[in-house]
Amino acid sequence: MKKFKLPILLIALLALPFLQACKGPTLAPGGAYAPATITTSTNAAGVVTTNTVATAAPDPAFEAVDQTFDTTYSMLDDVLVYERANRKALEAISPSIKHSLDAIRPGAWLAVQAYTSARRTYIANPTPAGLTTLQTILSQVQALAAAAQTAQATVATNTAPPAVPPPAK
Amino acid sequence: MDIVSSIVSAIQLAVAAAPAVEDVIGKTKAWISSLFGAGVIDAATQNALHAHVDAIAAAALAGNEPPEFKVEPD
Repeated sequence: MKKFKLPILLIALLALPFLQACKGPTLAPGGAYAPATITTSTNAAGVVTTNTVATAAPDPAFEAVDQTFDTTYSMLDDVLVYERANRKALEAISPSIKHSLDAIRPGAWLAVQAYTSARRTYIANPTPAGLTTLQTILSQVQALAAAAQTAQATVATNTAPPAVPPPAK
Repeated sequence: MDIVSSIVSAIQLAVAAAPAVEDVIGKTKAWISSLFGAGVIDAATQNALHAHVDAIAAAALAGNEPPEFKVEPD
């Protein structure tokens, strides 16, 4: 079952920006990506009225980028944690997996740091250029996560039972 | 290592990996559902996402590299 889920995860990872472009979600006011002041008042008749005043324009593009980063980071981190926790056993099955992931590790951490730094800049000054920077760095994180998933998938390939030759006639 | 040990190790690894993979799949499904479902992301969900990325950012900006990202000697 896991063998089939990994390609699905990779496809989902690559499809996330496309899905975002198809239909952006609406952000309810009052959340981190659609800041608003919400006040309630009760009149003499006991009727409660809620008043919502947006304090900044909703930013669904930023929410989408952050959501994709969060999912991508989780996928990447899961692979690295899993390999580290099971290193001895994995080396017995697929000796190259550690080296494959070691080639990814430094760049992955640098990409995560670059994203979070660009995110801090964007939060302080949300501009279209800042959003483009976030999306560009995110695509690098996605590429590294896909490479990590592929390296992990080689373990499943290596554990497949050997092909049995047909009986000689 | 003989083939039986390899198969047992593979089964143990698959079982160990299952919860992590299920978690990622669950999060992805929930998010895709939010895109095609009601189409509204409520404030609590927004805040949870923002806080989660903030936590990753805080560690990254402080230079607290998680051990799984470090290259360790063979």
